[in-house]
Amino acid sequence: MEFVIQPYVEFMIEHKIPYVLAFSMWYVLEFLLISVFLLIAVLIFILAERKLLALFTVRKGPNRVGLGGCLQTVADAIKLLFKEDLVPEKADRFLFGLAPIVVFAPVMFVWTLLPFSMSILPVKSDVGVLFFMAVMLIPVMGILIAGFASRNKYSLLASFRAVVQLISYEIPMMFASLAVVVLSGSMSFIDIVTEQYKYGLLSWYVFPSFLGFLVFFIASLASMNRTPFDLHEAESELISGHTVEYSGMKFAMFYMAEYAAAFIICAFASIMFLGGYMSPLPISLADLFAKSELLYGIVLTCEQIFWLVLKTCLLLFVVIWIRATLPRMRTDKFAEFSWKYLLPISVVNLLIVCIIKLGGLYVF
Amino acid sequence: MFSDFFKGLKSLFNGHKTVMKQAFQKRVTLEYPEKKRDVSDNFRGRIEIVKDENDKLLCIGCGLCKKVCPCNGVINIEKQTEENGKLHIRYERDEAQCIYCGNCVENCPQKALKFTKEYEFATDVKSELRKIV
Amino acid sequence: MLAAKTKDWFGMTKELLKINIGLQHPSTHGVLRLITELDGETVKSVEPVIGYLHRGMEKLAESRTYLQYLPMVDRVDYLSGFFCQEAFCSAVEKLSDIEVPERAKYIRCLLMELNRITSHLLWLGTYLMDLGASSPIFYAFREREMILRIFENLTGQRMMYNFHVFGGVKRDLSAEILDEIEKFLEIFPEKIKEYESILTDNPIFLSRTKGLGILTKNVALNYSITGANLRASGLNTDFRKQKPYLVYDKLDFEVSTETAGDCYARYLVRIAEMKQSQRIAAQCVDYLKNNSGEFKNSSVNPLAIKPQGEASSFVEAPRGLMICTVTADGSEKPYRVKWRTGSFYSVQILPELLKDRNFADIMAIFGSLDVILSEVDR
Repeated sequence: MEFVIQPYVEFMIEHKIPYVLAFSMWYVLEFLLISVFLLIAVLIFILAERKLLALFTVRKGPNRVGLGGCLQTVADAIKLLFKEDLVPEKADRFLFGLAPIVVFAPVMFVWTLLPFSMSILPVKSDVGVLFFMAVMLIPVMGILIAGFASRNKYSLLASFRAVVQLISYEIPMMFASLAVVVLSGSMSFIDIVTEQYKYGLLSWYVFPSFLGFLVFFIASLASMNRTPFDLHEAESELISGHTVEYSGMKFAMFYMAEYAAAFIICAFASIMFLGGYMSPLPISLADLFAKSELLYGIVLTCEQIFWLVLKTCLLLFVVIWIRATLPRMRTDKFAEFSWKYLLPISVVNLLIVCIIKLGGLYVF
Repeated sequence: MFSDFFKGLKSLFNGHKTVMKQAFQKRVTLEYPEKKRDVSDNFRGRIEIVKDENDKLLCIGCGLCKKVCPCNGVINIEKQTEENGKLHIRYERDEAQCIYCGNCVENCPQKALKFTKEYEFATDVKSELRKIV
Repeated sequence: MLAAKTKDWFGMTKELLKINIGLQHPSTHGVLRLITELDGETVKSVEPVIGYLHRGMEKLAESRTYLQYLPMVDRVDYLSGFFCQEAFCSAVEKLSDIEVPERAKYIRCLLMELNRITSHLLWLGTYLMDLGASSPIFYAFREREMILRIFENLTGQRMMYNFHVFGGVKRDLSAEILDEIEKFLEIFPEKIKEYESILTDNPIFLSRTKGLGILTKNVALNYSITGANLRASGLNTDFRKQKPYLVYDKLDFEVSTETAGDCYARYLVRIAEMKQSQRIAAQCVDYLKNNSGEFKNSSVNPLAIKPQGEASSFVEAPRGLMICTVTADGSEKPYRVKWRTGSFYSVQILPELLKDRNFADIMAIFGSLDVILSEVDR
């Protein structure tokens, strides 16, 4: 991000702003930029999902607010903001208010780990994969708190289910991402992406660890609470589960956290298996047109963001497509499925990957 | 066991294909208040009390509609004959009670009632639905 | 009912979670209330509470003439109005010896089979909604809408038809409507294939339905289950074959049965029934196009019906056997009208089927029985 830092530093020196302030402001600015991007992405994603679901179900979808319904989610968000914030009389008020934060904060937190391009990376971590896996567990705790605090039997059942779901999908997911760590020899996302760039498209980890990709994708469907694994939302059984008693902004936080998590998990899946921000094409626009160094940096960054977003959107499209097609699984069947099938498959995948790596069969 | 597995896989694939196929089909949404669909001539909408060209009711006040009505939709028919033999009829219907079954229209000997194609008569005031002619 | 409190190994009191499913619950299909006791996610006992949609259908008949009662009959089961009309009309026709012309019989038959398709389509859509699949309901409703448009063009309303009269039907089917029906019947098999491609072999759908809610032949008979639910348990009973009313003895169709008796078998039976209905309807359209005749017995004066005695009519409705018994005392009002509908018996079996099942199975099993609450409460 040198092409931005350079003018920023010059600007700060010119206006005689102290170094400490300038330094900390830089991080605040960066984080603000990224979180605003996330919120906008979520708004667009919700709209896109509604439009796509409408497409699959021969409807038109939202088409009243804005041109072709493009402002529908904004209108919904504003409506939720102005709604009365209801707390059930016998609910635990503190925990009831805490739960949406516990769900929402980790998602925003994980977002900073995401490398958008070679230069945009707010938090550089050498243990990115581990950190990601660990922090993405916290929202489930929030759901558990929400279920207990709202004093509703449906919510309670939903929070039980959330935990059952967690212990089912988490281990296969970790084994699947372990394969990536073995292949790249690093836990840092930047290293993982760089490793996948060596031989262009063919060095994407989806090829050596295809089973791992499938397992990761299925498990991530579960961690995003998407059909067929939306067990604790289960509209027709638990009437949308842990959010039964929530309204207004608290509900919006649950809702946004869920969609933001879906976006982030798909982004991480594309980073770990689909080459991340690297272009699948052998040549890039920046090489062709950019003359000066500054222009080169800007074009390359935009290009890399474009590829990452494109890959993420493709995965999200598949997620929505699956949601339109499949019925919901039962809790015990899902646990059975992930312990009996996903876990062995992911372990076998790890074994294959190890053999490839150690035996030098992995010629790329 | 493996044949089952492949059957399931094939079905998952076919299901997704079918859903994708629907994306290219004609939309069924009708943007209601702006666009309305046509209803046929047989449609049983709001019931109109027919008047002839002299603005006179066709109704002769026989009361058959009241007799065949299943739900008190026809509240009251008052018949008054003036000295010169002129008939005055006060016909009172309650559309909130009416179930639009069509018994009165079909059994009217004078064809003095008829269905219209109108079907939007939601209102805040219940008394607006009470029609007196 | 189970004792509410038990002690576990450590001497802690363990209570069953009592949860109230319904009245306002997305998958109770109306206003059914299920008082459920759960141990974790396992259902320990279920107690269905009915009566929230009671409109006094039987009592209303006693204060109305036969003609006045006829429009209300549609509301006994609002998803299959033609069946209720047929049940009541044919009972009254039997009582007062009214002859129904051949063409009218074919028209009634055609409309009833189309109505059976709409009813099963609605079941298919809502059942999959219960299982969590969100899009098949739209496809099912799209096709259902096509039939409802035809019904609206013909009778004037989409669900409350009031199309039967004593001794026939209200109006003849015009050539355009017959063409419309023919067009629908041509595309419909294609649509059934679409639903089946999404569902029939789908592993998740199978895991939610196969081997679940098994209704054995004896239990089904003991609880007087009829219709598709009984046929899925391996008993070949169909009143269209056993006791042919209207013109069913002249039509060529098969009774679809399955032996497993689980939710999946009930699904298969209903899909097969839709195909058979399509076949019957096509035959009726064929007859109606090539033959002409009276559509109504014009010698009947509906205002002057004053029968005496008692008569019952049997109709194979989408949700099981429908019997309408009319007792008349020679006055212009019936002395008593008694309805027997399939759904009422299907609700009774819930405690038996749901015991020791998963919580999510409540919806899978209850949905598969195809219960309409208006028919239960009447």
